[in-house]
Amino acid sequence: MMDAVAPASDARPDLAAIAADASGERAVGRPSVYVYEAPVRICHWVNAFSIIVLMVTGYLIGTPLPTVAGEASDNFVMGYIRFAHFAAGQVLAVFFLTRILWAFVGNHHSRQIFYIPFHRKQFWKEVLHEIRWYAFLEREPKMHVGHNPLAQTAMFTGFTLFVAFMIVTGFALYSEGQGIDSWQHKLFGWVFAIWPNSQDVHTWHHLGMWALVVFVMVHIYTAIREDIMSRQSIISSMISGERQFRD
Amino acid sequence: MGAATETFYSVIRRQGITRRCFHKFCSLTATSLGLGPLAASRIANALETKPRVPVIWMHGLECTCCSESFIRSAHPLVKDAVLSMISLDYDDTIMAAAGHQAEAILEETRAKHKGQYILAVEGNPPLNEGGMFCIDGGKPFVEKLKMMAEDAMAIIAWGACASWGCVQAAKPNPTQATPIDKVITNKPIIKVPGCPPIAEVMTGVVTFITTFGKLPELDRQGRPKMFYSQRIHDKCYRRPHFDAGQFVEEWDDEAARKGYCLYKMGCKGPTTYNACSTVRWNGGVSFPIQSGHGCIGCSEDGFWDKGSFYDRLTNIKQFGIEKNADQIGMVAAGAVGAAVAVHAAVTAVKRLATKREDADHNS
Amino acid sequence: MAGTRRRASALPPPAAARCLAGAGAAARDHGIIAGKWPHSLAFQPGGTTRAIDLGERIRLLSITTAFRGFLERIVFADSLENVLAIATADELDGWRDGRGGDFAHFLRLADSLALTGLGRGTGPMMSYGAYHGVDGELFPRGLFSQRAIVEPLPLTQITEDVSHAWMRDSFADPAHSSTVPDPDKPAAYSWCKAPRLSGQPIEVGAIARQTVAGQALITDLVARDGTNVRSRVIARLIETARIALAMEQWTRALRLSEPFCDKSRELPDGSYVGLVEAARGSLGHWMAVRDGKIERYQIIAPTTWNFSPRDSFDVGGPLEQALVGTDVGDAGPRAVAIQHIVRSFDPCMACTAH
Ligand code: HEM
Ligand code: HEM
Ligand code: SF4
Ligand code: SF4
Repeated sequence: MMDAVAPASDARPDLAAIAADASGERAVGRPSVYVYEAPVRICHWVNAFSIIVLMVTGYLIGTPLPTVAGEASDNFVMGYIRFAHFAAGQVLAVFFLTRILWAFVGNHHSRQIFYIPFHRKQFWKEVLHEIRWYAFLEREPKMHVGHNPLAQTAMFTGFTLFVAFMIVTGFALYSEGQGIDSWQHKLFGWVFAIWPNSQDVHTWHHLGMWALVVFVMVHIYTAIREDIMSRQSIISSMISGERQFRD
Repeated sequence: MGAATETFYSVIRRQGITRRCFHKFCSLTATSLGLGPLAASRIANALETKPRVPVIWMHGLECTCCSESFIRSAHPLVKDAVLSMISLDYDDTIMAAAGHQAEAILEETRAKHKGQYILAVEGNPPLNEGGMFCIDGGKPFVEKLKMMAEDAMAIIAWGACASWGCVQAAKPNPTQATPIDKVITNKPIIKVPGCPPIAEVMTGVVTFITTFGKLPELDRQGRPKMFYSQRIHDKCYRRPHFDAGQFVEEWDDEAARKGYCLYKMGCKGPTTYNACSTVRWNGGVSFPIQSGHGCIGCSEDGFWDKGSFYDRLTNIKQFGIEKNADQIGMVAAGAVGAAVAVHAAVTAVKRLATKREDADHNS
Repeated sequence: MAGTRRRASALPPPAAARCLAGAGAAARDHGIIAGKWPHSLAFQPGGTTRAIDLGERIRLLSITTAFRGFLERIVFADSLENVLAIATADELDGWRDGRGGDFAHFLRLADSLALTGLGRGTGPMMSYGAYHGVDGELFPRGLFSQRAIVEPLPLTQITEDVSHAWMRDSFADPAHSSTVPDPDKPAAYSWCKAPRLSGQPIEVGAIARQTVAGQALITDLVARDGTNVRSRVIARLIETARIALAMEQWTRALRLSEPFCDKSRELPDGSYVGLVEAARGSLGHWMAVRDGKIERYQIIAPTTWNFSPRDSFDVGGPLEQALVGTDVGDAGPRAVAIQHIVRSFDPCMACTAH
């Protein structure tokens, strides 16, 4: 299991050979690996786009724009904002589901963001290593084909859990407008058993947005930073799917 | 007493109400409950043959606004009928009997109509200090409630107090005021929340239970679906202004005169299930939003503990200081943004240093 | 007495239902102005959230007219103007004879039950003043003193005494006092505090308001027999007639284009006193604001004045004094006479822990 070897300080190691992801899978001796399959990439960018739209429109639902003048029938500002939110919400839900389904058929990396291997000591060791790397305590980063273990942990909580939470609470809120006989209410009405007053659901949904904002900020920062710092491509991998190892 | 064995029909006939009038009432009732024309004859049949249902109406910690609302039900026919339809054997606020004479009625009803009477509860019992914050007839109210619930057919929890706890249960709830369904767990309970509930909703619920001898269909939270399945916002007449993005920003501004949406004034219509925007109040003349004031969500759980009635975003108290989601979120995002910036700066410096080191090393 | 049972049995109808219909009409008025009753939301510091428009004024007028019709047909069986023209007790007796309606019926009943002799009160009465308009108050502020004249109200002389209440000792001044229960206090027998004005118990309510306002009939009744079960009920009915008329005038006088909310009314830090006449009598709120939040709040409600227990000088409140000497016959504490007296004060006893 233990394949990730710390690079020896004196000799130049066979980088590609030791590059391993968090599950310890050895990347075969190629300078470039196909990590992110097309569906993963499509889902990523569709979801990223939806989330940005959802954040902007969601914020405006909570704090609407200044009043518009004229007849009510000539304007539909709030209506469009909410429509955009709900449309983006449905898109996100569909592509999130697709992404989950792909985890069953796709390659090993496509499964990473849906679990944390809690039981594996090695995994946590590497998480620690990554933390030390980000805290400037390690000089050399390790190489990983998929997510590094810290990223996997962050992805799982920051993306998988939060987005799932947003979708569940979002659809519960949506069901309020659709009526208690709607399928949305049948599927997600249980949320109101937890928070009988939907004002609380609004509040949590709103807080969830800010959690995602924080996640996205860190996500983009680390993506760019790793791209520069860690001797493996990040940004372009998400576009082309190939991960290059640069040294 | 003893009147409980009469039928509703015989009572109103004795009062000189005509048969035609009676049928009119039945179809009116059917309509107000959202039932079809067939139901009218079922209601008529039930009222002609069934004995009147005895009702015990008790008051815990409350302000009596539910009673006030109930006795002002708009349609005179409905009100007369409801009051004749049930045999209101005990209601310590409006009954003529007082003292021991009144308390004796409770025992009598319990013995004579075991399992047949309806227990209508306004207000709730406080549980702290053995219930001593609400002493009724020399006993803690909670004991009286449990005693009368024991043999009741069903329980109506009137108002926000009995359903959710209302103001006396607001944090920190020093008396531990507790909603009825947390105290009585073995009886069917129908919640009719609101502070107070709308009179027509109250009479509608009573009519349904007395005519059909069972509770109407309830939603997940135990409220009658026919009155509580839609939000104020779904049927609000100011909704076009909401969709258009036209809001009142301040009391008495131009927008307020024009009747714009009260969302920015903290209207809780989007999160409140009640019939105000359809049934309306005081004989259907108006409802809070029509009077230019946002809905405060009085029929919702814990509506006293969600910050100001005039803020759109709920205050969150869990974080020590009172802040709303945006304030908390912006602080968090700002902090993380700053951390990212610092981290990036340190990274850049380190990288430069490493490069120079590498360069030194290589040369 | 024939018809009494039918009229007066609380529930079921028809008497109660008819009366509730009248009250319901009044509530509709309130509904239009304030959106909902009970627990109206439209009232804001400095005004209301409700701008009345032309159509609503017409609806308001039709409701007030309907309410007047209810009073004139069912309650008084005469026009409100005629009723308010009755100036003395003798004229009232003359008016009553041969008249239908609930009021005349009550007057006959009161005579046959000798309600004038029941629940006598001779102490001072007060009114904080009600319905402030541009030309002053409809019901002015004042104290009807022991000397049977109306004097200015010494507002700073309001105190609270807890010597016989299950309440912990605190300041006498309501602007500083607190309301903390002390259920084991030995000398106590009530949850109600004993409010005093210049050390005296005060009767409040419709009869106090109308006496202070100098309403002719009520002044005459009080001059003859003090306050009692009969005159308290009469005062409430006369007051209802006055208010019904005033409501019509107010509705006509509404200036629809003027601002309806004075937004400059902020509450800077400090102490505040709010005094109004509520239906049951004088209601006072004492409040302190700090950092934009309510720091303390103290209420003296009307029933607290009327139902006050004894104070530290062993002087009882208006109700206690009115009960003294009541002939209870064999029924003892169950005597109907006691209920007549207690209810004549129109009490609100739902909590009475002020
Ligand atoms: C990343 C995902 C999402 C973000 C950041 C987000 C953000 C927000 C925010 C900030 C609000 C305003 C909350 C308030 O204070 O009332 C909101 C409201 C809402 N969101 Fe989302 N949301 C997301 C996903 C979804 C999804 C998937 C749905 C489902 C269709 C959804 C449905 C709604 C609904 C129905 C409302 C209430 C709209 C209203 O009250 O008019 N949201 N969202
Ligand atoms: C500079 C731009 C970005 C780069 C280079 C980038 C890169 C990546 C990479 C490499 C992953 C790992 C995918 C996986 O293992 O499944 C990922 C996942 C993810 N990113 Fe980004 N990302 C970028 C911008 C964004 C933005 C703007 C958002 C959202 C607003 C976002 C949201 C996500 C989400 C939700 C995931 C998990 C999605 C999935 O795996 O399907 N990303 N990103
Ligand atoms: S539910 Fe709220 S409202 Fe009804 S009696 Fe209670 S305080 Fe009044
Ligand atoms: S006033 Fe309130 S209920 Fe009506 S549309 Fe606006 S937010 Fe919704």
